[in-house]
Amino acid sequence: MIPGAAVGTFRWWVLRIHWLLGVSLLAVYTKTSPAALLFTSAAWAAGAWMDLSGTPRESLSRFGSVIVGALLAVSTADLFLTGRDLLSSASFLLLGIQSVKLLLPKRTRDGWQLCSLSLLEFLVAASIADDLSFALYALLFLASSAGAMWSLHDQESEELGRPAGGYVLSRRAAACAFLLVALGGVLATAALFAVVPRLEFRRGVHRFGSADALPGFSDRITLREITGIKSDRRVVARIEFPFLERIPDPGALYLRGAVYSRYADDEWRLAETPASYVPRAGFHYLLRDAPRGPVTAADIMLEPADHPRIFTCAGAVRIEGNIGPLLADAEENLLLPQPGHPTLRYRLLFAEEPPQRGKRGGGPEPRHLEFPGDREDIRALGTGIAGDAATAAERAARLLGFFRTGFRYSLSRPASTLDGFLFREKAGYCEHYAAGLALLLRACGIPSRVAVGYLGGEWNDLGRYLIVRQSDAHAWVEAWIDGRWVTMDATPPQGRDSPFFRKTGWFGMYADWLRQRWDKYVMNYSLRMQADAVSSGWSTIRKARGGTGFPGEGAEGRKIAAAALLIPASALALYALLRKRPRKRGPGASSRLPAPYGRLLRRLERSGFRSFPGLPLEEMLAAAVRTRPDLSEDADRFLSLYHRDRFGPAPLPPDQRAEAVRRADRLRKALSGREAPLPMRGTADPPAARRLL
Amino acid sequence: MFRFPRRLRITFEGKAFLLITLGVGVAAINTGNNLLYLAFSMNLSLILVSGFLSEWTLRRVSLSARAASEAFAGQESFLAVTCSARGKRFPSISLSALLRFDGETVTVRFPDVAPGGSATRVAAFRPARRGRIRSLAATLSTRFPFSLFEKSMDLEVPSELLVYPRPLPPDPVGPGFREPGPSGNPWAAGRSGAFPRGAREHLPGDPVRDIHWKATARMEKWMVKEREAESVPAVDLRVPVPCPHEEFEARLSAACGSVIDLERRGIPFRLWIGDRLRSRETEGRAAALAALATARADGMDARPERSAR
Repeated sequence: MIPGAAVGTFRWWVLRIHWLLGVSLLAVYTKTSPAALLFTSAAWAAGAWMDLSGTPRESLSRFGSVIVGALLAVSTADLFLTGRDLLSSASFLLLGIQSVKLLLPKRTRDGWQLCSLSLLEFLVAASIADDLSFALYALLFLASSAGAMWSLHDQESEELGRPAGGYVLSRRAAACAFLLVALGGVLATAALFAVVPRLEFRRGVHRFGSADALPGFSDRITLREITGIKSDRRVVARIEFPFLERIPDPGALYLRGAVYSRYADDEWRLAETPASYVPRAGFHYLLRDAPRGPVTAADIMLEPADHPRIFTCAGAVRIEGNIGPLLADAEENLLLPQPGHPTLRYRLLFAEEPPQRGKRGGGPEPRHLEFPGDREDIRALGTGIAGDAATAAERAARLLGFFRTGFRYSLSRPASTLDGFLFREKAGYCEHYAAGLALLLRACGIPSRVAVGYLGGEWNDLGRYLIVRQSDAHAWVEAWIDGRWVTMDATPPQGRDSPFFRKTGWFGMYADWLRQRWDKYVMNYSLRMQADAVSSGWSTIRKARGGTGFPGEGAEGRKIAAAALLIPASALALYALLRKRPRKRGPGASSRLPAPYGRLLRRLERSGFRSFPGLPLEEMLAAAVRTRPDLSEDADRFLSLYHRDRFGPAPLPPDQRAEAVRRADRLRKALSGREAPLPMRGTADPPAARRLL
Repeated sequence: MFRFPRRLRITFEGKAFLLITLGVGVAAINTGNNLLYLAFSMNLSLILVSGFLSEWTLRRVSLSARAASEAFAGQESFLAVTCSARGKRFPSISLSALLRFDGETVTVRFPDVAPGGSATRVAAFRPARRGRIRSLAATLSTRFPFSLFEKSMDLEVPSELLVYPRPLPPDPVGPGFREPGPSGNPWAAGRSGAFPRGAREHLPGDPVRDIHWKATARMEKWMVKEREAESVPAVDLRVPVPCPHEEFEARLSAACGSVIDLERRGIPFRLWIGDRLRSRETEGRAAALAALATARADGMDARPERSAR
């Protein structure tokens, strides 16, 4: 049994935990002012302390509305005059009201208001968070919400003078009820999350604030840009290949983010060509006409980033996904209209054999042959290497071969200039190789540009996807050869022997797999996935029924038919089993006694006052009072309260119940201090006993 | 007429919760943010869980009512209401039963009823009319678990309630139903001073001092001394029928008051309704009051039975 007082304390702790969870969600997932969070936490602690110590603070209530009004004025002024940051001002207001409410006395209505504030904080965090840890917070919040509402239900009942439900529940029943709520809540949440249609109007505010995102691409790159990135293990993207049976070669997938085609002053710069919207049909973004050769699909999940770039690869034909309007420039760079995006998921379809030219032009421009006038030495080097090669492809192959001998990959001691890399030190990393090859190609009259993105990654066999990290950042060259842009990479392949390749342990793989599932099935769950699920389910049913009739003749059809019969049959059998095993008690069975009364009853039994089975508590107590007249006052008052609590139209209000419990405990302790004699029949009744009877 | 098996009322907190849920849903649709869809689903799941738990609390719960005291029309009486959860696996929590009596309501609350068990509570009520009540209309409701909704169901509560007529103070000179016996004044038929002539079985109202201890020990049941004065014939209480309704009710009330008074004073009595003897002197108070509760103004045997609404 759970005593009433303990339940009261527990109930308030459930509420306090619920309120604290809201604050902690703001602290973890938003950039709310630490001072405001600290103040609210202090108010929480002070409120809890005052609740526990019973500090009178009714007089504070009249200041509540004034303070809330002041907070509203301050946050409005902050929004319109200084910050113009809705999230910051709203958080300030939320935390301010919450702090005041935490310090004031709390009736049920105040409890509901605090729970609403906590829910708002949860929603603010939900609108920003992307992280898998939010799943844990969501579960905790769901459980604490249920607990808090349950507690407020009890509190309200008590305030209205009605019984607080559950105060005599056994621990087992309480645990079962809690598990049922938790399990049912989680299952119902999962089911509803899966079936609620993902309608997206995207008319108002898309997102409040932003979570921590990966840095993006600058508008220029120099030879000093990449060294820090190589030690950054943060995941940029996860790529699945839904139609590939074999494990793809990570070293062959060039994930392009930006193309730099202007070279000046040892820097590669973006061309900044005008961008236009990519034509789309539903979820399909059309980049090129369908190629003749085979097409491969890659499901790309991008982690949140603060740049607008969408990764693609050479030969991209089409993008499928719900990622809103998409822009493309003349360099075939794909961009979102606004910089910064949350976790994104899309399917990229690309030709295994790069097609001729893109739907959006993408052919060579004069800027792809721009060559610095003061670098004749490089031009001479390029023409010297190309020699008398007749075609552009041959010239490009010779130039690529030039980097295969005498050059070494080095992140620790790279050349500081392109001159140094090509003529003297011959040591550098991917940007050195890409910049050198692009200039040499231009020297030979081949249009070229430097592409920056990611190459390679770590294969996760658990989820069968490729993990691409910041450390996989790479630069390569795209050269216009035979009427199309061809990817050329002069950088020596690093492979798994590279000192920069670090393998994630099995724990890391599982953790990343969980994160990938979260991203795929929660963060990027879409109407398209719902439609696919319905479609595949429908086609499975049709397949099972089609042609051969139901059940199908094939092995698959038989399996489906067996499952279709077995599952409902098992469910029915289980239901019937549960229905046939109701708990049986005697016809006179009654509800369990509240714990303090039960303890007193057991004490009376052990002391020998139950002379025959079925003797009620009243008579046992009367017999006890005959032997201990000093207990008559407690017994008299206790029986009066006990009768009202047990058999009155409603249980006692909390203060009287506390008195009944106190008197029951006192009687029990008094009786347990001695060996009570068996009650004698015919004993002259003392006055107290007569009164009781 | 078709009625839903359950009725649902949304509380203030429930309305606020639904409003917030609606807001979250709109925000989710507007932004396409799946975590807002998750929050929306969580709110919906809490509503679902609330519905399931309240249903499990209400289902297979039965109520029964019986008198916890003698019930007289127009007087406060006590009703014992038993809530049973037989054959259940889930406790019934925070139940509130509303029983209706002739426009009056009685509310009884059951904080919890263990699975398979029952709980009985006693409530005061004031029946308006006499008669036998075989069933009561009741509404059983719960706000469990979150107070967002109040789910209720209507029940017909079986009861064996007998409401006696409203007792009037006895009128010693009232003609018609109170006649002295042939041996003299019945009001002098007290026990004090009368000579004991034997022993008889104890009746309610017999003073303790009259207990015949030797006879009690011999017979192994309570015996009292019988006195000469007791041979005086019982008082006959007569209620004439047929009779106008209002006058008939008044006579029943007067007879009821006399029965109680005679019983208290230990005077045997017989009850006649019309020309039919409805209660003998040995049957005592309960039989007489039951006869008065179910008597009809036309003198017919069919006893009025009703369902209190």
